[in-house]
Amino acid sequence: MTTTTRTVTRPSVPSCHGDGGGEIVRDGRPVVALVGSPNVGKSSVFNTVTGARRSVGNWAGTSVEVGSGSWRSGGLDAAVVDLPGAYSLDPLSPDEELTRDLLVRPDRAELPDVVVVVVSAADLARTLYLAAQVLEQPLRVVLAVTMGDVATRRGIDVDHAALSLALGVPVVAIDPRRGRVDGLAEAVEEALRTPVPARSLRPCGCDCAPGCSCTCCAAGATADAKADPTAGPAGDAAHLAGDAAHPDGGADGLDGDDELAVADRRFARIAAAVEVATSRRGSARADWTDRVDRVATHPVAGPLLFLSVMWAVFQLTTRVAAPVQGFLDDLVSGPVSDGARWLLSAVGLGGSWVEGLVVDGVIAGVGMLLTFVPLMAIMFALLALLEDSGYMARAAVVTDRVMRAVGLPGRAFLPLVVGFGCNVPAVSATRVLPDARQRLLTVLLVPFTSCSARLTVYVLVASTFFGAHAGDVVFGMYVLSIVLVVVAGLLLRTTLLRSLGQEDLVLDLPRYQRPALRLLGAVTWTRLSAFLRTAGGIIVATVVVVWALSAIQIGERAQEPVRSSAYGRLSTAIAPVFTPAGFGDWHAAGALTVGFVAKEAVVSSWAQTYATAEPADLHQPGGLGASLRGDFERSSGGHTTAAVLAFLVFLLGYTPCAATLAAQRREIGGRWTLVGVGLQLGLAWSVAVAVFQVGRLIA
Amino acid sequence: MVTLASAPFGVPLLLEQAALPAPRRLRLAELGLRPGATVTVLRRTAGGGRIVGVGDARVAVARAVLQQVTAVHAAAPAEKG
Amino acid sequence: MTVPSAASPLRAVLAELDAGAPTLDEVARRTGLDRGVVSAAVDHLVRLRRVDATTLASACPDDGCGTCPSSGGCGSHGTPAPAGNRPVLVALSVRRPRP
Repeated sequence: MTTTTRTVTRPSVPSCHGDGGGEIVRDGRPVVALVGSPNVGKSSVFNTVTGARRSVGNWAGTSVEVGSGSWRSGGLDAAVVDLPGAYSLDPLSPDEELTRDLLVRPDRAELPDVVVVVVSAADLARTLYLAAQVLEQPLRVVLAVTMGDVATRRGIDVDHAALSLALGVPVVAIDPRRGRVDGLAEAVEEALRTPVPARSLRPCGCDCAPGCSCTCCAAGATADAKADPTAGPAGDAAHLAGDAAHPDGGADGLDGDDELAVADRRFARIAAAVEVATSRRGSARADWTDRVDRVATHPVAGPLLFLSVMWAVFQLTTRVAAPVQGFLDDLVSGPVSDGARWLLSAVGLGGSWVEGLVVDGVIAGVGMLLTFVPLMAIMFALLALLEDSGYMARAAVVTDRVMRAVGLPGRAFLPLVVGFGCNVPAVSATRVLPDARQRLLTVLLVPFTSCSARLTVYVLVASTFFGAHAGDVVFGMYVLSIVLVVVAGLLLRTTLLRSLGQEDLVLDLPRYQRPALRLLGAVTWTRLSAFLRTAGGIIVATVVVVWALSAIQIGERAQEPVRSSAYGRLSTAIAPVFTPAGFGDWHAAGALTVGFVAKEAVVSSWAQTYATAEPADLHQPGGLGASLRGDFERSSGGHTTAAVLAFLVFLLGYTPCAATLAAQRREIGGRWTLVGVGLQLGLAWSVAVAVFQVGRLIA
Repeated sequence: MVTLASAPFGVPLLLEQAALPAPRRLRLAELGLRPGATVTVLRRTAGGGRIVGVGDARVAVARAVLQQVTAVHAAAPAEKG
Repeated sequence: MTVPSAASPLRAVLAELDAGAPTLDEVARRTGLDRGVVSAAVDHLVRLRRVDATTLASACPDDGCGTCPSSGGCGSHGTPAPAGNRPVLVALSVRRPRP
């Protein structure tokens, strides 16, 4: 197969009369021009019929892009010119000007041999306007109708035979997006065999003899023509004169009412054709969207579906992310750290505080940050999937009532749901709320959603103390989390945020659609990078600080070096605060102190305080578990269960992490963030103490 | 004349007016619910609201808003000559 | 003066808009024209500057970018949804011809 491209341009002198501008070079083959409105799929047609035999370039002397190529199909061998999309031949843009220049010219030998006008079945009336104008010119025309599938979905049925009869031209239905253009080549071949019609500028474009039975004559257009000065031979001449005169801006060169009258004639033709050739099938919204919604928005089934979907999201996130997180963790604490140590030894810094800072501080911090990435990426992607598919709107409807109880609009559920994955992106997710005070309230409530970092501690503690019932305890924590959100919400609304208005639900429910993967990727990446930017620096800095605190020794060195480090001293000083809650022990206090900065570090620093190894599997705590049991026994005076539960409750409710604080500060400002911290600490401590004191009486 | 909150399901209705503040009315109008539009109340939603169909679109509306929008039964479409 | 709609769709639509038809569906009903034709006619009338169209919208649309939590910094926020997906409220007013 040879690749031949025929150039169809010759340099031209731009003319303000619009009768120059380039000509079509003939190579002996017929020339087919492709015209049509933008967005009807004209380019797809061009690509499909020319295959590899095409090229695109600028029309000489203009900035207009024109495609040219060869169309070989069956008995057809023609040169094709793909003109830019044009709504009409009225030269309101260079694109339309060029199309007009090629189709309206005094010398008929320069005209294309066949013009294929591409129109859309889904928007026939609009896309036929160009066709109506083309049909006023002495050109062979074939109409190609695309987007039949879209039309069908909208409940519009097009009768192509009727359309052909009404307009007086061959009509072919095609689907260029799927490469189906059968029939078009034959139609063009057939058209080439017919003589060029001598069109007049009558409304119907045919040489209407008295008694003509074409559509517009039958509709009484000739009667209207009597009242219309622009119809008839005088009008034709005026029209042509208008064409040649061509002042800028005015369509057809006529003004005001004449312009309207001319356009009206074309519209009459279009209306008549549309009338006979299309039928609408009532409301054609994809049936299955409505069917799914019968469940998705149902008063009972809706919430159940919502919970299932959310459960699935979290299951998928944790199950898929966990191995990747494990891998990254191993990578950083293994080869990367070892490599760094080796490097530092090589330069003589082995064993120094520099090594500590670099390996246990910076690298460990970056490693921790990296382990966030799989979790966040998957969660963001899943949430974006739900949004793009259209389900999120239904979820907003379902959660609206519940949200309203907290004084928030339905849309606030999204950030709160995200919060169960990680609080940091949840804080930025509050941007979905248009009202600033609603955003404030939601941002202050996000920390009470139990994030996945807290989960790591729950699992460790629950496995250590509750054995087989660990799962129930963890589930209970999540329930408590929701309760805390509601309680905190009510607290805030009755005190500081009393003036918050109520916004009733009015929400558009879009059709369900297959999510666009490319968009999904883009959105996921945007959110992920925003998270890394916000939290990245803080997490790394935090780990460095904790390392430093643990490394600096204050006062007499204790038997366990950790205890006399700055970190240990600090924890010991804080510990008494937790005595009423049953865990007034420096180990626990130390863990919580670290947790104030980052929950992920709790388990590892807890292990450090006991100088035991961090358990590889949190479900089997091993040495750390044994140490924990001993300590909680002691600090709770025998009421271990109550103390453990109190500890878990405190962990749930108090400040999530420094990254969250940073995100909050960005959204609501420093002052309100501090209010939030106070709320978190206050509420967490109160509930923890209550749990212990009550639990002490029971168990 | 009924409010959308008490209108029967599945019956075409012609919206009259909404006794709501301007921003709320604008929001409704944007979604197709404006005086003169033909709508159908489709079903109940979780939370006491309803889903209203306007042409191809579906809008979930809370009860409080539904109670402020009045409508009459739509006339039968005129016979085509 | 009654204008036979089928023969002069543009003028018929213009007349109905002038007479205060509240929605395009109403215009279609009164003129007997296909809904798509009415819509195309209105667009053409706007092109001919016979009708002014001003889009009315409140901030933050509900679907599309509205539910996207990253609307503050989303790279794809700039691309508007294709016209068919989201309802748009447009106020149409007929221009008075200059004397």
